[in-house]
Parts: sequence; C-alpha cells; structure tokens
Amino acid sequence: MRLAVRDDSDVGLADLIAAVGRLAARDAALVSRIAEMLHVEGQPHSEPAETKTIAIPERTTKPAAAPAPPKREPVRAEFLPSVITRARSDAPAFATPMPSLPPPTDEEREPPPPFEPLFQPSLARAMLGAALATPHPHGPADLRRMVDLVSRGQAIASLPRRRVPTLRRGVHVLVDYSSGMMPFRRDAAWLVDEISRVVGSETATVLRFHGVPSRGVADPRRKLRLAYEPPPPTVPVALITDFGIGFDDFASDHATTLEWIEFLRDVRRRSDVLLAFVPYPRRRCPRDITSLATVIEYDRGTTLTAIRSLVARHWRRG
Amino acid sequence: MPYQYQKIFTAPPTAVTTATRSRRDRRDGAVYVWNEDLELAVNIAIATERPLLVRGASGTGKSSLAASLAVAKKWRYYEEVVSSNTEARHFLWHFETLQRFSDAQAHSIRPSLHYVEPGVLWWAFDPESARRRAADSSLVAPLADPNRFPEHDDSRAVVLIDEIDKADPDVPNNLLVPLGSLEFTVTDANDAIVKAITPPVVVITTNDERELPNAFTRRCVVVRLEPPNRGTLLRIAEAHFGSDSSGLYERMADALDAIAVVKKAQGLPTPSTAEYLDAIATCRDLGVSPGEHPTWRAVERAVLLKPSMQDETRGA
Repeated sequence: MRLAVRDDSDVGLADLIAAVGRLAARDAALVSRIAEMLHVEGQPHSEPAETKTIAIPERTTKPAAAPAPPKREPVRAEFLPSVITRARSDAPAFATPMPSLPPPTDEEREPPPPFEPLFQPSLARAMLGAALATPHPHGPADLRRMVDLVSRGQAIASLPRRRVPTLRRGVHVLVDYSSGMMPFRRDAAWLVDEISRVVGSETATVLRFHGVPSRGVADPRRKLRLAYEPPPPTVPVALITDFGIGFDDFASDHATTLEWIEFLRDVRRRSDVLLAFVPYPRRRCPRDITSLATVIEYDRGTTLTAIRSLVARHWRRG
Repeated sequence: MPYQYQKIFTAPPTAVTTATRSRRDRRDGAVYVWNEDLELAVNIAIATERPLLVRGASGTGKSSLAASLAVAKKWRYYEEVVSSNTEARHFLWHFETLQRFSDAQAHSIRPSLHYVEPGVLWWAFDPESARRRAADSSLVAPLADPNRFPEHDDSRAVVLIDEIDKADPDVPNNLLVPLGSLEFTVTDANDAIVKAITPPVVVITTNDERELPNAFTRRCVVVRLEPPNRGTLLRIAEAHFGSDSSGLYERMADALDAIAVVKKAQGLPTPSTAEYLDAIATCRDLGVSPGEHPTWRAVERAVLLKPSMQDETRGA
C-alpha cells in the first residue's frame, strides 16, 4: 500500500508507519483514518496491480463521454441595459446594440483572493500572547531577593516570588465598527478570532462600538446594546481601532480626539493594561493617545520583538 | 464495516450495571460506552507511543475514558486536573521551596531530596524511582504511590491530564520534550534522569476553550468525542442505571432533543450526556417523569436548561 502525503507531514509520517505496522492495518479506509488522527494529510493508494479497479480520470486525456457543460440560459432582452436598447441608428459603432456576454460559468469565475491577515499567521499566536500577557506575582521563589534580604539581616515576612507572564486574566476586546474601520472589518474579525484562540473564548469578552466605546457598546454574543462598563482592573483591555484616523468626512459615527482621550484616561485609571491594535503607522496617532495606550501597529511589518519591547516599556512605566 | 486490524487494546463490552449511579462524575472507570473510533485512537496512541488528545464539549466522557482504559487493561492510573496556575514542571516534579525555607529558619533542614515531590509523569514513567525520589532509600523515606487503582501494578500506566486548555499556552509546549522522548531530568534531584520503563498512555483532554499550539497537537493522536446519537445515549443510560421498562430514558432523550433544538437556534451549547444522566438520576430519585407538570418543568430548568442571568432577564 502506498500513501501520498504532503511535504510538511514528516512529523506524523513515522508515527503513521509505526501505527500501520503495529496494528497490521490493511484496508485503505482504516489507514486514512489513522493518518487523519495523526495529522498526516494524504490519501492512501493501492498497489499498481489494484489501480486498474479504481477509475481515476487521466488529466492528459480527454474523456470520450465527458458530461456536457450546463446549457446557458439565453439572456432575455428586458434585462439588457436600457442605454443599448435605446441606441439611435446614427449612433457610433460602440453603441450599436450587441448581445451581452453570458454570465461566467463556475470554471470561468475567478475565486475571491485569499485573505491575507495583517499579522503573520505563523507569529500571530506568539505576538498576541506577548501583548496580552500580564505579570502574575506567583512564579517560583525569587532567590535573588531572598538572598538580598537575608544578607542584609532583614526578616523575610513573606516569600518573594518571581513575576511570570500569564493569560489567565483573560482579555476585554473592544472592536471599532465605525465607517472609518470598514476597510479593516475582516482583519478585525480575524484578530478577534485569534485573540479568542490564544486567550480562550471563555475568558475573552468581545464588545463592538461606533465612534468611541463611551457612547455605548454592543455585545454580539448576547445581542444587546449596553452602556460601557470597564472590566475589573487586572483584565487587559484591547482596542481594535484606528482612533478615527481613517474617518470619512460624511460619517456620523466619527469620534473626536478629545473624546478618545477622555475615554482612554477613564479606562487607564481603572485598568492595568490598555492596548490598541491600530491598522495605521503609530506616528499617525496623536501623542496624547500613545501616552495613554500601548499602540501596536496592526500590520505585516510588526515584529514579536517590537511588541515585547512596547509591552516591557509599559510595565517599566507602570 | 468495522475496521480490521490487530488490536493491542480491545474495548470492553458495555456492561449494564445494576448499581445505583454515583452522584459524582465517574472516575472509577467502571462504566464507559466505547465506540470503534475511540478504540482505534487508543490503539494508535499505544502503537505510536504518542499522547492521545481527546477533544470535545464538556460532559461527553473525555475524562472518564482514561480511567476506563486503565480498568480494562488493569494498568496503573494517575490523573492531574489542570488549572490556570498549572506549570508544565508540575507534571514532572515539584520542589517544596516554602517547606525547605521554613525548615531552614527552624534549623531543621533535611537533605534537599526530601523536598522533591514527584509529579504524575514521574510516577507513570518509573514508579520505583519516584517512590525513593531518585535517591538511595537510606537518604529519604519512600513515598506512597498515588496510583488510583492500587490493585493494578502493571508496568504500564495511564495518565490523565485533564483540561489542558485551562493552562497558559506555554504549558503544552513545555511538555513536548518529556512526552516525546519519554524521559526528563530532575534538576532538583542531582540531575537524576527519569526514563519511562514502559511507555505510558497519556490521555490529554481539552474543551477547546483555547487553541493548543500546532507543534503540540501534531505530536498527539487526536480524536474528537462527538455528542452521542439517540441510540448511544440510551445505551449509556442503560450502562449507568440498568435497563428501563418505564420508558424514562426514551422520554428524557425526547426532552433533550427538544431543548437541543432551542439551544442550537440561540447559538448556545446543547445539554451534554452528563446532564442527561443527571436528569435521569433526578427523575428516578424524586419520582418525576418528563411531561407538562410543574415539578418536571422545575427539574428541566435546573438540570437541563440552566438559564443564564441573561435568559432570565429576557424572560422577565
């Protein structure tokens, strides 16, 4: 029995061979199921002698009795644009009534371009983990501090412990649904999904807002509009917003910088961590905003090191 | 057609019990309804010596699987429920820093090995080494084996690491080496190397509340426990409570189906097998039967519907 596998399936391939050998698995469906449980992507193939029984169409030869393509419906005149039907007899050649092209078939239709996330998918997990982790003072005993205290002859009243980063406090995500963020709607949704995967869907609260959260928020899970209430102080607050950078002059949901500053000051007073994922360069954010929130550029150029450095700066600043 | 292969582990047939069901979630491995896919997954995990990652919603029987396997094969059994505080090293060993510090203050300090507490993987890999904390028995007093089934003393063990998704994301990654190589070094015990004498079957469960790192899942045999269909649900009820002539199990399954339709439409999780069993136990003990009367409605609300504060506000 042979198995065609993807190039990157090498981790499970040895396991697959071991499992198939030890369990004496012979039939293709069983091998396929074992491969699935071991994350080996591929399809088992029978020995060449048996392939005769399996009808696999050859790509190079055209099948003699290929099914006819679906018959296209004739285009009805009333659906043609009126400008063509009203064309005058002395109209130029380009305006001469012409039958419209038939709608594209499934084969002709271009698939939508693949979604390219703004963070590198392979690094997103580490980047979000670094951004959203908060220090927790319950790590291993801090021997250096203990030695320091003992050497000074001071009594150790409580065991000093090292601070370790943790995601156990969850995250409070506020997603900007203003018209200025419309071009980034899919990126915001992707980021929310990634945050939920990293932090845990049970501990991630996601709320939406227009303009600024202080005007009110919507809870998509409970389908409710609510007055904004910040989370408990230890829960990090993560905004996905452009702070009005990409606003549209005619949009009614635009918030002023002053409104944002008031909101951020209010949250900052109550929360230990306030992050903002902004799909524009950091320098475009007003200085008053960057001094209140840790602004992370939501873009391909952002690196894990840059996020670590921004977060470390926040914790040093306190 | 069932899979044909040379089984290392054969799932025991489901025995119909006559015993009264325990009020708590079963961890004794006495009753478990296996299916072909699950049996295959266990066989693959044994054949490849890889951990078995069991995914699925709460109450689908993920945690009970490990105990059932240990009972069926008479293997030793250890379990550790993960919390948000759990660190990967906790599964290997734990050093009682605070105790040592306290003893030092009281001038009654003992050899450092005394403060080493073996974790579940150490016990599973090499129970003799864990018992004497990798030291000469003259140095430290031997520890008692936390094997949940002391009557099983086979060289192979089953380890349950329950709800790994509750831990910080680094925990699964930090377990890759000890679970992959089946050995680790105890830095607090003179760098003693602990090697698995017989590879244990490590069953890891996740409710999928948090996605696990790819590197970790790719080194596991993965199986998903789907909610049981009606026939399986009735078999599970029979296995737990014995056969039913009153039609209670059927009526409860009908009630469960009706609630599942409503919950699905609201985008909420549907009642689990564990809740179905709780509802049957309640009805049997209180002499209630699914129907229109208010007592059943109260039982249904408390055991199956479990309305959230939000639902209650809406209702009001």
